[in-house]
Amino acid sequence: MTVVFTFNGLRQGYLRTLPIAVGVSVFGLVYGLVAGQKGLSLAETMLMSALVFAGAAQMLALEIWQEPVPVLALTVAVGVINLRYMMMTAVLRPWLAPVGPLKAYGSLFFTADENWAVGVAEMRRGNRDAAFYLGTGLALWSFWLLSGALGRIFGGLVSAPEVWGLDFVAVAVFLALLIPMWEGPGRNLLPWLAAGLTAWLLYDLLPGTWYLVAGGLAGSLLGALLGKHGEPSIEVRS
Amino acid sequence: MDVDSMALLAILGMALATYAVRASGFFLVQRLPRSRFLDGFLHHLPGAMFIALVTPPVLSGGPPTWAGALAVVGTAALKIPLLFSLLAGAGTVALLRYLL
Repeated sequence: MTVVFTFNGLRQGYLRTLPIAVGVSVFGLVYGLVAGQKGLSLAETMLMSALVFAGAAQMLALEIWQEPVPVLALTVAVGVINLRYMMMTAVLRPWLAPVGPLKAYGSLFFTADENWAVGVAEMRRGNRDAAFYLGTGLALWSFWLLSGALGRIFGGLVSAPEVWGLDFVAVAVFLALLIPMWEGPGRNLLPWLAAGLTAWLLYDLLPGTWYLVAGGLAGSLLGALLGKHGEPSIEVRS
Repeated sequence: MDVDSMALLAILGMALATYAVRASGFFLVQRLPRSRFLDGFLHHLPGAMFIALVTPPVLSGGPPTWAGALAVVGTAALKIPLLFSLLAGAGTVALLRYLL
């Protein structure tokens, strides 16, 4: 099976992610607002969004932010909170291994929870255009950058987005994408229960995003141990 | 456009740490020997991750969030496009928050 990397695939990925990117903009506005309160300039606010591009980590960074700027603490904390990305990018092997290191490692920069979810769901559906992933990332990245800047500039004007239910969109994305991943109770019931239960129990106990790492690990390790899984939809010989 | 040099250093540090994590998962998996266990782990990871992401906020969200989650799952199960699923969910949540 050949994997391609075309502009059309990129466009498709961008458009598919647009509604989600609009929902995520709500968090971008909040990020910009808090950045302003913490004394970050507009340029600093945008630079962080453009280069770090990780919502939960950026909010955590603002939490720690003070004068003088604790460079090492920020670097370590943000690296740790993003550890889940390590597992997530490993899943992209069938798409990114065949397209060469430049496209693969370039695409990997644009990895956040929401666009990764859209990308992986599409990959599992059998789409063989790996540029789709870059498209999903660019959609989220562009809206994240813009909404952060708008939040920084018009901070005081942001009024309760929860009235519109927009804060729910981030959760809804993963819920909707879960449905086509269901392969029946024999394969998914126990791993999904393990993931949900672990995340739920550790949510209040552990700091940051450790509940995600633990939940994801619990579910996928149990799934692998039970050994009930089909062949990957795209087989890659490396 | 003012950027403090310490702030710039911190942002570059955070960016580097985050990219290193993103790149290392893919880098390592390409070098690990293929096994049935690894394939199973990678196969189950997305679903487990999605469940871990949604479970705490949905369970602690209260009735409007529960109804919104049902609307999303229901429309997605009917193979309605993602955009409409999201609209149905956000609409349900907004409506119930207004009514309750």
